[in-house]
Amino acid sequence: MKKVLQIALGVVAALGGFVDIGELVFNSQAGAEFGYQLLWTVPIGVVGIATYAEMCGRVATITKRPVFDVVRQRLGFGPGLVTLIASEAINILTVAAEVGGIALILQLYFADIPFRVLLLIGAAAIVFLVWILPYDGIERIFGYGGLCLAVYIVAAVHLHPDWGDVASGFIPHWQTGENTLIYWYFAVGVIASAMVPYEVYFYSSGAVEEGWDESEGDLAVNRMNALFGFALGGVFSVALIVVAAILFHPLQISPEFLGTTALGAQITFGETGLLLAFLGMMFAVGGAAIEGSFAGAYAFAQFLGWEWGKSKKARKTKKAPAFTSAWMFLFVLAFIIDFTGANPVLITEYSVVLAVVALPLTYLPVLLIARDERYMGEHVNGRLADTLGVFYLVLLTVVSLVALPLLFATNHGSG
Amino acid sequence: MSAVGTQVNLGLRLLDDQLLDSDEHRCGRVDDIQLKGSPGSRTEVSALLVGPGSWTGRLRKPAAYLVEGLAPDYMHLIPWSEVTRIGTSVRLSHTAKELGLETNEGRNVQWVGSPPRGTMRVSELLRSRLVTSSGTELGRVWDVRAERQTELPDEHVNEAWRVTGLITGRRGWEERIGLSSEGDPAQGELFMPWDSVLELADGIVRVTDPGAR
Repeated sequence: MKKVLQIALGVVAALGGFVDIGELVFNSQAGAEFGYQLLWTVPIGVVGIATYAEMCGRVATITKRPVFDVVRQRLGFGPGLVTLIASEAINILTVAAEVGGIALILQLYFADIPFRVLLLIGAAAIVFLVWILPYDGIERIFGYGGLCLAVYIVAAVHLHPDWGDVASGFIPHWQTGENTLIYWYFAVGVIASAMVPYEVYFYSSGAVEEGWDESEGDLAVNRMNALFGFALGGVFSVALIVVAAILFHPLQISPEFLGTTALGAQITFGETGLLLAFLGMMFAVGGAAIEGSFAGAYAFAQFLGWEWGKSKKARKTKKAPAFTSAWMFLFVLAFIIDFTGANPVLITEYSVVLAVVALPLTYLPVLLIARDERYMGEHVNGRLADTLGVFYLVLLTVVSLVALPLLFATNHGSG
Repeated sequence: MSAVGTQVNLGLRLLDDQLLDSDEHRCGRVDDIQLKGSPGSRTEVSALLVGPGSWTGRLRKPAAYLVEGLAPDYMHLIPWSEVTRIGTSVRLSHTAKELGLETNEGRNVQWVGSPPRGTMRVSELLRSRLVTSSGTELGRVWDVRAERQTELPDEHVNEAWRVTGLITGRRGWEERIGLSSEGDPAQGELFMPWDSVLELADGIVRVTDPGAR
């Protein structure tokens, strides 16, 4: 029973980690711009992140090595440093996008208060919560809170889509015509927003922090978390696309603000829908801000071999000052970026697309060690994990080559 | 799992690994490995180098210059005798404080510059090209192979680890990143025996011509 509860909590946490401002922005815009046509990209992203999250969790359980430990050990100092710098740049942008997103959501409640004041309040609240809450508390509170976004799943069903059209959206197809580049930009965006690297940094470090052990049955917990947590996250993504396709696509409205995305729930369920959407967004975006900042601090400390962690042990021994300083420093940098007046939605698009460039460097060492019998023993990759791992590595390499040209050629999707 | 055998590729199995002190606290990474000896003659692992002063040796120009300008110019030297276990991390026999890892003073601190006389660093070898005495290029050095006597995987790890050769060629790169297994030493382009090494200078490891061996 305890194990079932642990799996359920893990699934919720994985779900909370999956849905962030990137999902909200890219999925809503993809649905508004192309109807159901880009639904096929959701399972591609979900299977990709589930594959690598499972691998990272398994490597962490067996070898006690989180992702950046593996990056440094397999790539060496030079390429590892390049990966670290790229990852930290993306993490800073991600946290800036999420913190800015919190302020945007607060602005929808408190329109009279200046954006910069809300920014300060949002960032301070998040730092305070991180300071006082234990690791699992953070994971669960924001995971549970993010479940309010289920209002989109209910809304998608309630809006009675043509299920035949929805199903046909899952069949990959080649888009031609004047919107071709924009179509591919959003295809890359939806896949990339599902596979952003901070999710696996956080996930694998959490596995080491919580002391996952194969003898305790934690490999099964890892597999369930990766499979069901991210699959449920995929259902949220599909719901966002379906709602935007029904409500915004016919009217040619592009949801460039989070408030527009929230309208999808309000039009369907009135004030209650709006409130649930706002709450869900707040928790999802807040959780992602914490995960992003932690991921940056984990990467930094693990690369240099310094003590890290938010666990009771790390707090008790007070041996992780660099780790603590790093995540606070990331928050400060993110706050400064937002304070300059940069648009958080635009930052989101840049952070997601730039993240694609760092993905192959992050996932290659994970794949190498997961298929290395000397380290993994009998828990080495099976044929399915190996095939999927190689497939996604090739796919991400191709996507990383086209991501930036698409970003600039389409003027970040606005044509 | 992850136990080291008697034939060890130092780049793959030791360099960049996590260091744990005797209290199980993380206290840095194996940023470089100091070897005692000279090209072609008996050479053994003598210490682990930890800290920013050793980073420049791991990078190519101009990144090395940049890091040299930004990072502190000292590193810690952990005598090989301090290593008690090598597995998924490298375990030390004393605390970080006792080893002086929390300060930049003491006998275990080494300043940036050329390695002390009679020593070399694994990073020097890994940056180098293999060239025969007649000038034939044999490729880049991807890893350094060492040998120890004990069969027991996790015990006596701090016994003498003697350098036996250099790994080069395409398979060498595959071995370095762990794509293929560390093979048995074999003559040829993949494995260059240490006793055929003549000198190490300016990023070039000069070895005897194959016909002269």
